[in-house]
Amino acid sequence: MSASTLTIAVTGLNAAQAGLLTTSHNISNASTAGYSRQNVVQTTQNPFYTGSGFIGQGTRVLSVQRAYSSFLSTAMYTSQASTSQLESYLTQLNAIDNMLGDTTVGMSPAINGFYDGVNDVVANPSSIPSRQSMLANAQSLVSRFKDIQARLQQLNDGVNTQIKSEVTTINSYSQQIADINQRIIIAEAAGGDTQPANDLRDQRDQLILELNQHVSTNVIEQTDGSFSVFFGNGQPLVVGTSRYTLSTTAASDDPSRLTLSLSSSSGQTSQIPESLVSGGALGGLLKFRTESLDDAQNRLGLMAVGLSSAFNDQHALGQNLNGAMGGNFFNVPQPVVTYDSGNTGSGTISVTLNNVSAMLPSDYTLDYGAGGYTLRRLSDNTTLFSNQTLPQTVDGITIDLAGGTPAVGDSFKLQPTRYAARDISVAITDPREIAAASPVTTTAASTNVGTVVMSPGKLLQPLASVPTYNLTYDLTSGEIQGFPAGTPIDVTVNGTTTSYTIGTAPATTGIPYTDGMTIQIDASAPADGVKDIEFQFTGTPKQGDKFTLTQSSANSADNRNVQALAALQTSKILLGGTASVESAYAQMVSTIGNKAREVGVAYDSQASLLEQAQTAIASFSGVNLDEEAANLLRYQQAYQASAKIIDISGKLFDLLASLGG
Amino acid sequence: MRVSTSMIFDGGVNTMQRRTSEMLKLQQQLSTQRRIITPSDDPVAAAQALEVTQAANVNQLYMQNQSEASDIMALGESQLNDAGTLLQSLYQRMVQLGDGSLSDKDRASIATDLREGFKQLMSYGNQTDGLGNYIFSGYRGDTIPFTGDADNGVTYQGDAGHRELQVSASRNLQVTESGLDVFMRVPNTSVPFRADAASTNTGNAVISAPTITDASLWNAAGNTQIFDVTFTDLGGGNFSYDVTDYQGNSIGTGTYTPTLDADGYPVPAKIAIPGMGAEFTITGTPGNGDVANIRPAGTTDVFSVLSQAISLAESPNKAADPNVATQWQEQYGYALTNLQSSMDNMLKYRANLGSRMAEAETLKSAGSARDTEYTATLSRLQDVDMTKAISDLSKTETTLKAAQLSFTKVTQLSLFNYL
Repeated sequence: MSASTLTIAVTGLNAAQAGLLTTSHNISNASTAGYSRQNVVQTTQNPFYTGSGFIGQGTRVLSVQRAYSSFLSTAMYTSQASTSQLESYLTQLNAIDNMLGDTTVGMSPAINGFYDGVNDVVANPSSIPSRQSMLANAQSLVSRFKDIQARLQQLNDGVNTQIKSEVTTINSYSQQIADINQRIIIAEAAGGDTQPANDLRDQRDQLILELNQHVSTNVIEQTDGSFSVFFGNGQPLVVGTSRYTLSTTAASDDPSRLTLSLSSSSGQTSQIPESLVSGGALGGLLKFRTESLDDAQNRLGLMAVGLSSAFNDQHALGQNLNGAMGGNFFNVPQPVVTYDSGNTGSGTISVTLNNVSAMLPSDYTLDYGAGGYTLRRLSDNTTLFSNQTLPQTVDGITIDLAGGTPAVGDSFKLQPTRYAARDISVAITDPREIAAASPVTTTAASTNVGTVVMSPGKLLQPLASVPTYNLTYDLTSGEIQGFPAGTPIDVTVNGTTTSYTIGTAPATTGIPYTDGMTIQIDASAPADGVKDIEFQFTGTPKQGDKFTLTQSSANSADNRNVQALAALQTSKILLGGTASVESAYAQMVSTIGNKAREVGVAYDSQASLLEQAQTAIASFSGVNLDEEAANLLRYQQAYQASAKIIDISGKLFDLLASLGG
Repeated sequence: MRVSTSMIFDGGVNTMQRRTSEMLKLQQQLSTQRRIITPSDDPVAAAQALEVTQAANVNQLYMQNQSEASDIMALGESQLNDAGTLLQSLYQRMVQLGDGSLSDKDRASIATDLREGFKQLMSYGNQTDGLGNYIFSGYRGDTIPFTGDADNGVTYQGDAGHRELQVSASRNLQVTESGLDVFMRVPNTSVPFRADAASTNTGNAVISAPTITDASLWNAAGNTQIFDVTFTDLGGGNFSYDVTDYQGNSIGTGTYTPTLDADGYPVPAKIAIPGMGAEFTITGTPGNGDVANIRPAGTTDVFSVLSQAISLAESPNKAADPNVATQWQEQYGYALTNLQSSMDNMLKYRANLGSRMAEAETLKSAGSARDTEYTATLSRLQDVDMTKAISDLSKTETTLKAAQLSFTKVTQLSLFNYL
């Protein structure tokens, strides 16, 4: 059976050669990304039956296998998607975090600088240089608001740009995966679907891993060996050899931001809700935008709205150096309404500030349906009212239909604070227009005999002009007289308020005098039902004592109103009276800081999970060069041994041949 | 566990990177001296640091205001001090004026001094601060508060306002005094009440010497101290008078017949306010319908007091008419008393200013103590612990060196070296 010995030897040689080839392949791909080490699966040839039993026929190579575990791969895809999401979120967040952390460029020094200027005017109310410096500080406060808003807007624009490039990258990967699916189907079909196309499959796994750096996907293997790739909650990217194209469009409710849509090869396009997309750099960008960037812009905007409107309210109660009533100091930024591009009705919505202290840093969606309007607050996804008519006042804003008729299904996005930090500006340029003085001046005549002290008096509401009241104490009636007939007056003594109208009993001629009385006068002409002026009387009057209340003169060194303005620095005017502007800023910084910390910690732990998954795969599939060196020796020796068999079988043949000779 | 070659390389590199980033963080902390580089390093402390910084800034504003307040008050105080000294010297001249043996020349020299003093007092009242604001005109810093002269009287152009500065979270300190209070509202302590001839009177009767005869009646709660005494010429040198209260109701009547003494000068007569415990003196003959006004003493102003003093110094204190001397002495007494009252009034406001200046000083030291506290809190919140950071740095450095060394050792091992 010498011929058989030769045959067996050849099978051994072939097997050893296959082993040597595979080992060399492993060694040369030791550092190829995504490469799984391969090994030769060897088995015996079918034995030959003889009467004395089965005689072996040598060996054969059954298959070349790669060390692959789909469980480990899936774990790595998931970790990769989470890690990349957190990494891109963290990168964006760090930009804000670093900006706020810088004590020289944050809001805090600008706010302090502004109030420094205000206090300068408190100390020197009529000094033009002091007033000029207050205006200059106000300007730098406004530009700091604008700077930070611009920086946040840049991040928003950056997010748009990056979403675009992410989408391009994702499309390129899905194209490559679809192509490689095709090649795997062909390659494996050529082998009768019995042998796996190891290297192509490794390449595809690597592509899927890289795709997961950009968006989180699910992979399902089809019977023909191709992979179908899905993202979101089942939106297909690749099905077999065909792929879907992801694209960006301006969001229908906010043209300033890009959102996603998916189109099939047949050209059907559908919008993908952002909330469905998670994982990968794309998921991180979208999450950063909705969770942190919008919030930061709204919080900053709320500070701008709060500061400017509270400052204006107080400023309007003062009088400037020219003797005119204080107008607006800031231009208060107004809410922005965006009409959904799909709206079919003509309805226009107006949003006005009603109560700044009740406002929240959030956007709102107003939907018009058959039952009426429904308002949703986006920061916490709360429905504030549903199926109502307008106007409605909620969260410190008043929403009304300004004109036109909305159609059922129309939608409006309300952003009361989003662009406020961009839109705030200083309304006055002339330092003389700073209303540092109070418009109300009161005087007790120097000839008075009684001990009555009349408080300086203040405005409660802006007034076109302060009327002059010449008041006299009349002993017979015990009254303060001299108010014009028809003037509504509230008198408060020890917390009890009595309302009078001069000329109408019981205040036919005047109001009864009580020590410590607070007088509030509706001084508008005609009376508007709101009290405008307040002052107090304390002491004991004598017959004929005279008191005057009149509008303050121009060029006053009075600092009463600017004192009230300075006090706003520590007034809790925001978030339901719980925060001053600066503490709102501190809250914003701590919110962003906490988020960055949270994301940073999550990133660290995800990154270490990813590292573990990578190690697990590297441990299972990676090439160990020492091992390969050993294999090299083993297959070399196997080859030499098989060759020796050929040699021996030749010698055996020679022996037989010599017998005949 | 099976180890692949890439694990050795990747694992080694990852560890070294982690150590390097730790070192970078420590290096940043050391070079900035700050523990919190970005708010995320310690969000709670970062927010707290912002709040403390705000409080520290507000405190500094208050301290600034305290200094401003001290400066403004010091200016007012020095003016009042000077004015007080001036009034003191004028008072001494006035006392000299009472000496009946003075020559007309001496009296003229006193009158000159009083006139000069008057002008000087005006200039104290019209003082401006460094920015050109009048310090005694209330809110009307641009308006000269006192105008007029000794002969025609002085009017106050300012208002009753006084400026305040916020010197602590709960304290607005009044830093100026209104000229109205300091100069123009001096309690009239010279007379128990005023008895004056109405300005519309046509007769030559002089009303003087308001006197309380029964204090319990005069100061009774229901006594308004406002009465008018109206004279009616009955003919034949006889007059009747009617005393009415402030509402015009008659509370009593009487008759008055002016008489002359042997030298032909009018004899003073006393007229009582019926049932009110007070009386006044009338000298001479009233016109028909002439009125004597009885009013509470009320207030006067320092300039009128000085004007009165000047006119006393410039008018003769001796005349043939004995009434002239009596009335001069009476007026002289009033002027002297009211000058004292003016000085007291000024002293009162000077004392107010002084105590508020003391308060500002106290607040200043409290403010700087608080400032130190805030600085300490801020340092605790955000400063790096140098010792710990440096020790951490050298620890990390050691670890990094070890990682590098072991990496080179492990990666050098390969079976291929022996093939």
